[in-house]
Amino acid sequence: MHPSVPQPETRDPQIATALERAGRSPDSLLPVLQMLNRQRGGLSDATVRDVSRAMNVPAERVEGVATFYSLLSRPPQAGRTIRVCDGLTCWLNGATECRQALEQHAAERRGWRVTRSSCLGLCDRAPAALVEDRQCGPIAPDGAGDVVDGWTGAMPTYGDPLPGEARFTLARGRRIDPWSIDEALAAGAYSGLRTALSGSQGAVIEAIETAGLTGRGGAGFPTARKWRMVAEAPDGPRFVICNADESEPLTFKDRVLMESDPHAVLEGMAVCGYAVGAAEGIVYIRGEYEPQARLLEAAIGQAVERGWLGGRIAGSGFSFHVHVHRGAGAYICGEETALLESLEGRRGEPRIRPPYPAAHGFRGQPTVVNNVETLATAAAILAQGAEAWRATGLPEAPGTRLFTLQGHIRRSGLVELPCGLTLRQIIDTFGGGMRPGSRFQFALTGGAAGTFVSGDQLDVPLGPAARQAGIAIGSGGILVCDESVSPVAVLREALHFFEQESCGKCTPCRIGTAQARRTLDRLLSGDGDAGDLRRLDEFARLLRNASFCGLGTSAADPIRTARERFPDEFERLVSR
Amino acid sequence: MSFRLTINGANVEADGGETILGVARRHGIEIPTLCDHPDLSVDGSCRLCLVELAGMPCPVASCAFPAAEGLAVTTESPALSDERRGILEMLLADYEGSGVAHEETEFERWVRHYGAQRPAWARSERRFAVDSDANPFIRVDFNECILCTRCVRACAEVQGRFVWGVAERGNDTRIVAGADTTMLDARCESCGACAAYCPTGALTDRASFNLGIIDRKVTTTCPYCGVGCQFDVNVRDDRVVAVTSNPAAPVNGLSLCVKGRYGHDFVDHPDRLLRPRVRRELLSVDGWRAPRDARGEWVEVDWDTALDLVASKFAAVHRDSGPDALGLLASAKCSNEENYLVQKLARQVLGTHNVDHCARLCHSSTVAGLSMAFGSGAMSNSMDDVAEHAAAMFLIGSNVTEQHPVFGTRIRQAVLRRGMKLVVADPRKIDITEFATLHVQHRPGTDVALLNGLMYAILAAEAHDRDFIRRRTEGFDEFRETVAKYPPKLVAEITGVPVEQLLEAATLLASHRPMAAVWAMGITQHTTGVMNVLCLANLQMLLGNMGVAGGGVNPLRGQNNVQGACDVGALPNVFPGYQAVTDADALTKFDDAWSLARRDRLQPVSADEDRLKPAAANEPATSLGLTTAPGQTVTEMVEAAGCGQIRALYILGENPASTDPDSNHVRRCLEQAEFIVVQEIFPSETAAYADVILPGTSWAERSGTFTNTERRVQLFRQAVSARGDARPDWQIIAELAKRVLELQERQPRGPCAAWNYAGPAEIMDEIAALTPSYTGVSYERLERGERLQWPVPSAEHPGTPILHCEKFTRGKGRFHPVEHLPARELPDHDYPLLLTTGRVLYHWHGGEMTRRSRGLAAVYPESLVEVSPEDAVRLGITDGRPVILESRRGRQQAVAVVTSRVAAGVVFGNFHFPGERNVNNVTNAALDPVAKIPEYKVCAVRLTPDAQRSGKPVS
Repeated sequence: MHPSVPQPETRDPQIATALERAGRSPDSLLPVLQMLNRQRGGLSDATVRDVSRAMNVPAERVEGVATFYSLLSRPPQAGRTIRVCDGLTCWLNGATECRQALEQHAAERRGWRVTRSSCLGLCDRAPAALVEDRQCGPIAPDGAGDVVDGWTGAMPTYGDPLPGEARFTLARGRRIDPWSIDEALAAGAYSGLRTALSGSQGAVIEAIETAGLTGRGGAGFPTARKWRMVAEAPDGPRFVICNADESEPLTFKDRVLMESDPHAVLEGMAVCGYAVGAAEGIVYIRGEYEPQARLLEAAIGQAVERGWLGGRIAGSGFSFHVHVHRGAGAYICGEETALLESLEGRRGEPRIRPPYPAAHGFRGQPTVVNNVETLATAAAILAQGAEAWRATGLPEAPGTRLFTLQGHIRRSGLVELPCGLTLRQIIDTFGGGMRPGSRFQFALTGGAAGTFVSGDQLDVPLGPAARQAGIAIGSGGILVCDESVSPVAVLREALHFFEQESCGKCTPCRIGTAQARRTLDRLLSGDGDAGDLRRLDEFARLLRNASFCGLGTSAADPIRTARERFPDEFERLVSR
Repeated sequence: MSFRLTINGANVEADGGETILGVARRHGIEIPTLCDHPDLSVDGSCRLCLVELAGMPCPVASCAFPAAEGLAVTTESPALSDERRGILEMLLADYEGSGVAHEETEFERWVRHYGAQRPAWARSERRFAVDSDANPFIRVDFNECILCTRCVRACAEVQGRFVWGVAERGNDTRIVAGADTTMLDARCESCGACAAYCPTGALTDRASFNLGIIDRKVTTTCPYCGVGCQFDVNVRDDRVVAVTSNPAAPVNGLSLCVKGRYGHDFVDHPDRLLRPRVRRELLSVDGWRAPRDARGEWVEVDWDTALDLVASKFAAVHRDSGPDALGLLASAKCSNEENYLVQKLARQVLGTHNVDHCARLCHSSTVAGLSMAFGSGAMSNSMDDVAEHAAAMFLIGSNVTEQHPVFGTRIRQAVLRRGMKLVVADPRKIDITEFATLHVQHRPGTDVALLNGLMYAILAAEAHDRDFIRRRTEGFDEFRETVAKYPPKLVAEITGVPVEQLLEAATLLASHRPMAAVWAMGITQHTTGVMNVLCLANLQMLLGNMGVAGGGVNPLRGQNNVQGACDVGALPNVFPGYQAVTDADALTKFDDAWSLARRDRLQPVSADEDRLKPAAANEPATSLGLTTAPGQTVTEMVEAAGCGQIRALYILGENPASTDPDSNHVRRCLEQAEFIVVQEIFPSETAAYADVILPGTSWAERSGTFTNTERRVQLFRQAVSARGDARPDWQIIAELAKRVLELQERQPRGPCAAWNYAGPAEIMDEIAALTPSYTGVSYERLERGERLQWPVPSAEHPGTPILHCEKFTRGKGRFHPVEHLPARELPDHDYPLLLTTGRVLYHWHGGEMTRRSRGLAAVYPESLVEVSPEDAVRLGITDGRPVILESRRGRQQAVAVVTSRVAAGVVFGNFHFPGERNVNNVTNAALDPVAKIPEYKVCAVRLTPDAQRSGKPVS
C-alpha cells in the first residue's frame, strides 16, 4: 500500500524473476506485467493479485494497467496472436480481406488467434500484421497461409535518396549496417556529440537555437526553448526521454530512422543530455517495434563499449546512461505526459499541464521529451553545423523533415525533404504522381489527427503558410487519395482509430470519438440524416473546445476539415 | 504571493497555486463541475467547468487552469452553456438510471440546470448489471457512472484504502474494485466515502434507495467512537433513513466510518424498549425480592409506577443502610448533561461517591498516569494538529483504523501526503502497519520494557532534549537510573523485538520532531496500565515533545462521550472538572452549590414546580453527607452488589454483564444483587438481571453534548421523535431525583441544587458554573458553530487545542521511574496460548447497537478469534471453523480466522457478542492497583476445535 512497507517476498518464481530484472519500484509495474504476459499468454486474476502483493501496489492499480494496454491480455488468451493492422493505409490496401483470410487460416490450424490492431507503423508494408512480435507485410491477398507459416516479408530500405531529396537527418541512412557501430562511426556517427562536448552546454543550446529546430513529433515546439527550460531548472536529477512511441497512423519515419541509424538517435539523446545536464536517458519505444527496440539495445551496448555512452563519455566529465523502455500498445502514450505516466508504471493517461515536463516530468524531475527525429536531427546539426541546416528549407522553417507518403500514388515510402515544398511538388516529384488512371481527390496530411486537404490547396507551401491555410504537417504522414474512396469513409477510419485509442479519461474524447464514429457509420450505411451532420459538427466542437489533451482536440481536425472542404460528400449521404 | 484577476468583471484576489475554480469557489462564484472536489486531487476529466478567458480562442477547464495575474475570466455565457449542455448530453448518452436516491444528485442538478436532454443517439442497452455488488451498505449501479473518478480518488486519498480503480480504456473505461472483484473482496471498509463523493447515483446508500426524497436534515454528532464525527441525519416520515456527510464537520469533513454512516438503523430495531418494565412481584405490597431469589416475570407499567418504585427503593436503602449502599453506573454513551445529572443524583440526593462508568475499563489508567505526570489526564493535542504537523507518530496499542477509523484515515493521509514517519508498536499486524515506516511487534504485556528500552537507546544516543528536561520537568535523574536497567539485549529478550528494530524505532522517534505519541487500550488495559502511561509521558518529556503542535500525549478515548463523562464527574474520586473529592474545599463548594433544605411539611404543596424551586436562602442548609473518601469503581460496585454491600444498583446505558472481565463472575454478582435498575434502549445482557427497566431514547431522539477524545464539546441534536414511551435520559434522571427528594422531605436550596431543567442547555449552564474547564461552554456558542476544546475558562475564550504549552497543569512535568512487571496470568502448560482482546471495525462495545444494525450484522455476524497459521496447524484448526476458547474462568464459542495478523502463541478475540460467544467469559479480572482497570489484554487460554459445532463451516 505504501512504498515504505517492507516488501513481502513472493513465492511465484516467475514474478520473483520479473521483479529482479525489472526492479521492485512501482515504476517497474509495466515491464513486470509485460514479462508475465509473454510467459503466461496474458494476465489472470491470480497474476494481478500476486503482482499487487509482490510489488506492494494496490490491486486496482495493477488491474488498471493490465487492462489499459492493448498488448497485454487480461484475462489470458489461448494461442499465438496475429494482430492485423487497422491503419488507414492498410485499410486502403485490403487489410479487411487480409484479416478475414487470416481468421480462416487460424481457425483451420488452431493455436492462432487473430485480432485487430491500431496502426502498426508499417504503412510502407501495407497491409501489415504483427505475428507475435514479428513485423509482417505486405501480405498478399493469398498470403495468409504464408504468414502463419512464418513468412514476414522484408523492410523496405531507403538507402539511396531520390533526386531532389535533401538527406540531413537520414544522411547515413541505409548506407551503413545498423548493427555495426564501426560502420556508423566511419560514416561520422557521434561527431556531433564530440563537437558538443568540446564546447559549453550553453553553446549546444545556442547551436540548436540558431538552427531553428522545432519538434518533429507533431506539435512543432522550438527545441532549444525546451532544452533551455530544463537546463535552467534548479539543481537535481533531470532526464532525457526519446519519444519513440510513434503510433500516428500514416507515420513510420521514426521506425525507419531507428532501424537505419540507431546511433543517430542515441547521439542526439546524449547531446541533449549534455546540454541540459541529464545523466539518464530513456527511449520509450512502442511495444509493436520490438525488432527496433532490440536493435537500439544492441546499439546502446556497442556505444557503451566504445565509450560514446555510459560513464565519462569520450574522456569528458559527462556521463550519460540510456536504456530502452517498451510501451505496451497505446497511441496515447505518444502524448508526452501520458508517456511519463506510463514510464512510471501507470495507465497512460495524460497529466494536467502546467506543470510541463520541462519543470515536472519523469519522477517529478525536469525532463526533456523529444521525438526520435528531433533528437537525431539535433545530433546532425551539431555534426554539420547550424548553417548547413539552415541552408535548406525556408528561412522561417529551416532544414528538412521526414515525410511518409502513401495512398493512390505511384511510389510510397519515406523521403527527407526541404521544408516548404508544396503538396503538389511532393506528390508529383517524390510520389511519382497519382497512380495510373486516377485523379487527386483529397489528401489527409499530418496523420489521422491531421487535416483533409482539397485539390485547391495543393500549391500551399508546407511551411508556416500551411498553418494559416489550415493544413497540418504534424508528424509528416501524408495519405493521397483519388476518387475511388470517399473522404467520409477515410474519416470514419480515422475516428475508429481515435475511439480505439482514447484513454477514456475525459468526457468529450471518451464519448465523442465513439459517437462520432457511430454517426459516420450511420451516414455511410445510408441511415443518416441531417441531424447526424449537426451532431458531427457538435462532436467536433466539443472535442476541440473541451478535450483534456491533444488526442481529443486534434481528433476534431479531420472532422472539421472534411466537413468544411468536402461538404457535398456528406450531403450526398444524407439526401440519398 | 497574491495577485488580482477578474471573474465576470469583478476583481478578485488569488494566491499562487490556486486554480481558477478554486478562486471562484472561494469567492462564492459557482462554476459547475462533476469531477472536481475540494478534498481531492484535481482530475480535470469531466470538462463541465469550462470557462472563457479573454484572449483565448478556446475555453479552458477552470479546475486545472492556474489562476494568474490579470486573467479575465467569464464563467457564464450562451456559448459556455452550449458546451456544458453538450457535455452533459454526452454523459447522459452513456447514463441509465434505475431508481432514486434520497436526494437529488449533483449530476441531476446540473442536467436540470442546463436543460440537457438524453440524446436520441444514446445507448439503448444497459452496459452493466444493476446493483452489481453485494456490499450491504453501498448500492452499485455503474449504468449511472460518468467516470469522474471521485470514488477512486476518495478511496485512495481520503480513506487511504485503494479499493476503486479505473480499468480498460476509451469508451470501455469503467470503474472496478481491486482486481475486478467485489468491494469487500477488494478490502473495502465500507466507509462510504466513495458514495459520499459520488455525484451521480452510481454509488449510493443501499438502505435509503428508492425510499423517496427526505423531509429534512439534522446536523448531529456520531453516537459511536470518541473521534466525534459530525454528520447530517436524513429524516423522512420521522425516521432516520440515511446519514450524509457534512463538509463543515470540524473533525471529519466528509469522512465517516462504516458505523457512523451506516450503523443508525438500530434506532428503529424491533428490540427497542418502549415502555417501563418492572418485575411482577414488585407491584404487590412488600413484594421486594429476597436476595438470591429468582426474579419474576416482566410487567409493562406506566412511568409514575416505575419511577415511584425506584425512588422508594433508593430512599429506603439510603435511609436504612446509608448512602454507600447505593451505587450508580453512569454512561460514556450518554451526554455530558446526563452524566452530570447521574453524579449529581449520587452525590446530592443519595449522598454517595459511588458513581463510575466504563472509563474505568478503558482509560482510567491514562487519566491516572497523565495526572501524575502532568496534572491533567486528557489528550494534549488535537487530531487535526497531529495529522497536519507531526513529523513522526508513535502509535502504540491502538488499532486505530478499526477503533477510531476516521482518525485512522487521517494518519494514512499524513503518511501518504506528507511522508510522516509512522512507528507502530502492536502485538498484531493491524491494518495501519501497512502504512508504517516500522512495525514493532512486541509481546502483549511488555510495554514498559519496550518503552524503557527505547528511552535507553535515546539516552545512549544523547538524543534527549536537555533543555526541555531542565526547564520543564523534575525527577529526571531517578528516572534515568531506572531506564539504565533496560539495555537493548534485555529488552529484546522480554519483548521479543529484535535489537536492531528497537534501535531503529528509537532513531526514528528521536530524529523526527515533533513526534506525537498516540495510544489506546493496548496500553491501558493491563495491570501495569498506569505504569505504561507513565512511560509514554516520560518518553514525550525526554524528547521535548510536550506543549508543541504535532506532538503531545494522545490517548484515543473509546466511546463517544467517555471524555465528557469523566469531565462532568461521573467518577468516584472527582467532582465535575476533576475537582478531587478528597479536597475539602471542593467538597464545600459542591455542598454549597447543591445544598438542600429540609422541607417544611406544613408548607402547602401546590405543584411540583413550586415544591422543587430552590428554597429561600435563609432556610438552613443540611449537609449532603458527602465524605472526602472516594467512592467505589465499576468493578468494585458490581462485586459489592453481589455480596449485598451495595443494595441498589442504578445502571445507565452500561452493560457490565457483557463488557466486564470474567463475565461469569459478573453475572453471578448481578444475579444475586438485591435491586437493579437499568436505563437502556435495548434489552442488554445486563437488563436481564434488572428489577426495573427504564426505557431511554436513542441519540437520534434527544439532544445534548458529547465531548470527544480531543476535548471538543459538540452538540448532538434530536432528529426524530421519541419511540414509544421512551424518554430522554436527562428527564428520567431528573424525575427520579425529584421523587427521591420528595420522599426524603428535602428541597433544593443551593444555586445549582434544583432539578427543574427546561432542557439540556440549562444543564450545561449548571455544568459551566461548576466546572472550571467548561466555564465558557454554552449551547448558544455551540449553536453558533464555535469550536470549543476545553479548557474554555470564559465565555470569550476560544478554547484550547493544545495543552501544556507554557507549563504543565501541575507546574513541572514529573518523570516517574517505572519497572517492568509481567502480566498477572501468562501461558502455561494447561493454558498455553496468550489471549489478547479488543474490538473490530464493524462493532462497538458490547454490540447492543451494532448487532442490531442490519448491514453491520451482515458483514460481521460471528464472534471471530484470530489464530496464527502455525498454531492453527498444530491445533488442528482451520479457517472458518468453530472453536472453543477456554481459560480458568470460562469458555467462549467462536469461529477461527487463521491469519498472520497474530504472532504464533497469541490469539485475539472480541467482546461484541453476547453470552456463549463473549470473550469476556474468558478474560482475567486482575486490576491495575492504581486505576483499577482490568487486564483485558493478557490472559492464558487454550483453543480447541469445537467438535459439536464442527459440521458447519462459517464463511
